[in-house]
Amino acid sequence: MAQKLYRRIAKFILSVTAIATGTLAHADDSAVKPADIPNLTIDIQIVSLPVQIGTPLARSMMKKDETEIAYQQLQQLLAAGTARLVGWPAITTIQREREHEATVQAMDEFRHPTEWGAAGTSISFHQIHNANATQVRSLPPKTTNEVLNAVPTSFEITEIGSHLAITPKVHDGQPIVELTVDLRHTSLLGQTVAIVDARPQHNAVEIEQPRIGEIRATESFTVRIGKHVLLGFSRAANPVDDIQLAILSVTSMDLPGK
Amino acid sequence: MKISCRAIFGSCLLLFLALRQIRGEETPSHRVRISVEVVAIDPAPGIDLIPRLRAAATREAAYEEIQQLVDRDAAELLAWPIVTMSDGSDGGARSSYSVRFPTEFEPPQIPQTFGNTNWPIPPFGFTVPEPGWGAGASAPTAFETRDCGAKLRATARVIGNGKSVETDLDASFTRLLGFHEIRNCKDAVGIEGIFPQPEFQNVTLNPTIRFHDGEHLLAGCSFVQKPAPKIILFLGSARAIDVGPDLTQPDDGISKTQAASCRVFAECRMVTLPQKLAIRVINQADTDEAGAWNQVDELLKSGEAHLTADLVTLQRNGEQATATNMAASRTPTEFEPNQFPRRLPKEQIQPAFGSWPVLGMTPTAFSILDTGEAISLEAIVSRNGQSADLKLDVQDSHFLESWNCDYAELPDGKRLALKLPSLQTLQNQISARVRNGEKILLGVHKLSNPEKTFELFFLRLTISAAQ
Repeated sequence: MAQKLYRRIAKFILSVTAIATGTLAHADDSAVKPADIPNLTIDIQIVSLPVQIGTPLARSMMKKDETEIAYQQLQQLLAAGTARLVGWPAITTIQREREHEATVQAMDEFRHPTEWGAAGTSISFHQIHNANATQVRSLPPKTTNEVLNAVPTSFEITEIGSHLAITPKVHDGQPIVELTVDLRHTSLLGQTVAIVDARPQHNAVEIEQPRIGEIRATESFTVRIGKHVLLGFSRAANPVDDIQLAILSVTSMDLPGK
Repeated sequence: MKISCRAIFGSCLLLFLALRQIRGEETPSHRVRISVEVVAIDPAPGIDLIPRLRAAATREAAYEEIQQLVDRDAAELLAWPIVTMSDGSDGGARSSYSVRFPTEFEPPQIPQTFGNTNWPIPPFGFTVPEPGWGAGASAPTAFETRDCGAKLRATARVIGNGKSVETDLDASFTRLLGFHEIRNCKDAVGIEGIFPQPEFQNVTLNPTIRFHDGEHLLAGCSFVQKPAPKIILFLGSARAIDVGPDLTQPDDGISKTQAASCRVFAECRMVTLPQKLAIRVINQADTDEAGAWNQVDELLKSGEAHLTADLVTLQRNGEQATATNMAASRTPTEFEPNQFPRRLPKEQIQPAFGSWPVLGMTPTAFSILDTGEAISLEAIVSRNGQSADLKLDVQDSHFLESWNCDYAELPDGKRLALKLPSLQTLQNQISARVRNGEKILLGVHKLSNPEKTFELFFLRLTISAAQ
C-alpha cells in the first residue's frame, strides 16, 4: 500500500517537474526523434519519351536489378533532350513513425465557359405594338434571325498541372518507408470547337471547349529509401507516339556533417 | 512512517514554483525566422541541381549555385517571404497583388418598352441596320477579385536548444499567366465581343520539415509549362535566435509595478531597393540583423534605397497601439451597358439609330479601397525590461497600374476596355519576443512593379522606463 502511494507521489512529482520545465509541451517530440533525424524527399518525375525508347526502359524499371540503371539512363535522356519533362512534383517532409500528410501542387487554373446564351437582342419584336397602330405588327423574319451572338453565361475552372499528396511512415532503424501516394497530373490537350451557326451570310459562331488529359495514381506500398519505383506508364495523348512514365524517388535528406 | 497528504501536496507545490522560477531564469527562449525562397530555373540545370540539393555534402554548394544563377539572371527569384515567430507560435507573410476579372457578361439590351412610345415600328419609321443590330459589345457586368503573389504561414518548434527547428509550412505562389480571350462572332456593324478570362498559376506546398539551424533545404519543387517550361524551387531555411530567458510573467508586486511603468517605442521602416541590393541585405540579416539595418541606412543615404514609410508607435506596457497613413479611393465595381433611350422625340430617332451602336459603359456601383501603411502592435514587457513579447501586424498597400479589361473590338481594330484597379498588399503578422534595442528584419516582399524590386520591413524596438 505504502509502495503504491510512493509510486503515485513519484509520478506526480515527475509530472509537476515536466510541466514546470516545459518538457511536457514537447512530449510528442520524444516519441518522434531527437534533433538529428533527417527529412525525406519524395518526388515523382513524369517524363514523356518516344515509344521505341520508353517501352524497353519501362520494362527495365520493373525489374528489380535493372531499376537504378534504367533510372540513370532516363536522366541522361532528359539531359540530352530525348525525353521531355512533363511534371516533377517533389516535397520534403520530416521522418516520423506516425503517418502525416504532405502536399505539393502546381496548377494552372484554366477558366472556360460552360454555358452560353444568345445575345440579349432576342427581344420579342412580335409583341411590340405601335400606339398609333391598330394591330400588332411583326418584324420581317430575317431580323429576328440575326440574333446569334453567343454570350458565355457561366464559367468553370479546370486545373491543369500536378498535385501530389504523400503520407509517409518510417520504421525505426529501418531504411524503408510505408507510403501512400495520391498523384494527379492533368494536361490541356487542346480545344474542341463546336460551330453553332455557319450559314454563308453570317460569321460563324464557334464555341470552344477544352480537352483535358489526366494521369491518376492512388497507391500504397513500401519502398526502400534511396530507391526508385516505376509508378506507372501510359501512352501519351499528345504526341501520340510518346509514352509517359511516372517514377517515384525516396531520398533521405541527411543533416550537415552526416 | 506516516505521510501527511497535505505535506506532500505542499512540498510539490513549492517544488513546482521553484522549478518554474528556475525555468524562467535559466531556460533560454528563441525567436524563429523561417524563409522560403521561390526560384524558377530552367529544366536542364534543375535536373542536375535537385539531386545535389538533397545530399548533405553538396546542398550548400548547390544553393550557392542557384544564387549565382539568380545574380546572372539565369534564374528568376519569384518571391522570398519570411515569417518571424516565437517558439511554438505561428506567423504569416504575404506579398500579393489583386487581379479583378469579369465573370458575367450582358449584351446591350433594347428596352422592350420602347414600343409604348410614339415611335413607328420598324421597318416603317427607320431602317434596321443590315443584316442586324449592333449587339456585339457584350458588357462585363460582374467581377471577381483574386489575390496573386506569395504567401507563407508557418508554425515553428525549437528543438535541441536551438540546434534545429521543426516547422509546419504552408507556402504558396500564385501568378497571373495572362488572359485568354473568348470571342463570339462579329455583329452586323463589325463589333466583336470579347470575354477575357484569366489564367492563374498556383504552386503550393504543405509539408512539416525539420531544419538544422541556418541550413538551406529544398522544401519542394514542381515543374510548370507556362509561361515557359521551368522548375519552381521552394528553398527553405530556419534560424533560431536566442532572445534570453522567459521573464514576461511578473511574479511579485514590485516587478509588476516596474513592468507596468515601462513604455515601448517601436519603429517600422519600409524600404524599397533593387533586387541585387535586397539580396545582399537579406543575406546579411541572416546572421547580423543590426548590420543589415545599418547597411540599409547607408543605402538610404546614398540614394540607392528609397524610404517608403517610417511608422512609429509609442505605448505603455500591455497596451495596443496603431499607426496608419492611409488614403481611401473610390473605384467602380459594377457597370451597365448603355441602353436605348426610352422616350426620344420623333425627330431624333433617325440620328439616334444612325449612330448605333451606342458604346461605352456606365459605372453603377462603387467601393472604397484603402491604400497606405499601417502598423498594429501589442507589447508585453519582461520583468527585467530587457525584452518584450510582440504581436505585430504591419501592412503596406498601394495601387498598381490599372489594367485594361477589353470587352469588344471595333471594325477599325480599336478596343473597348474598362480600367480595373489592381492593389498590391504587403503584410507581415508576427508573434515573437524582441530584445530592447534590437533591430530585426520583419518582412521581405518582391514588388510586382517596378520589376526586380523588393520592399523590406525592419523593426527597431526600444523599451524605456516611463517618466
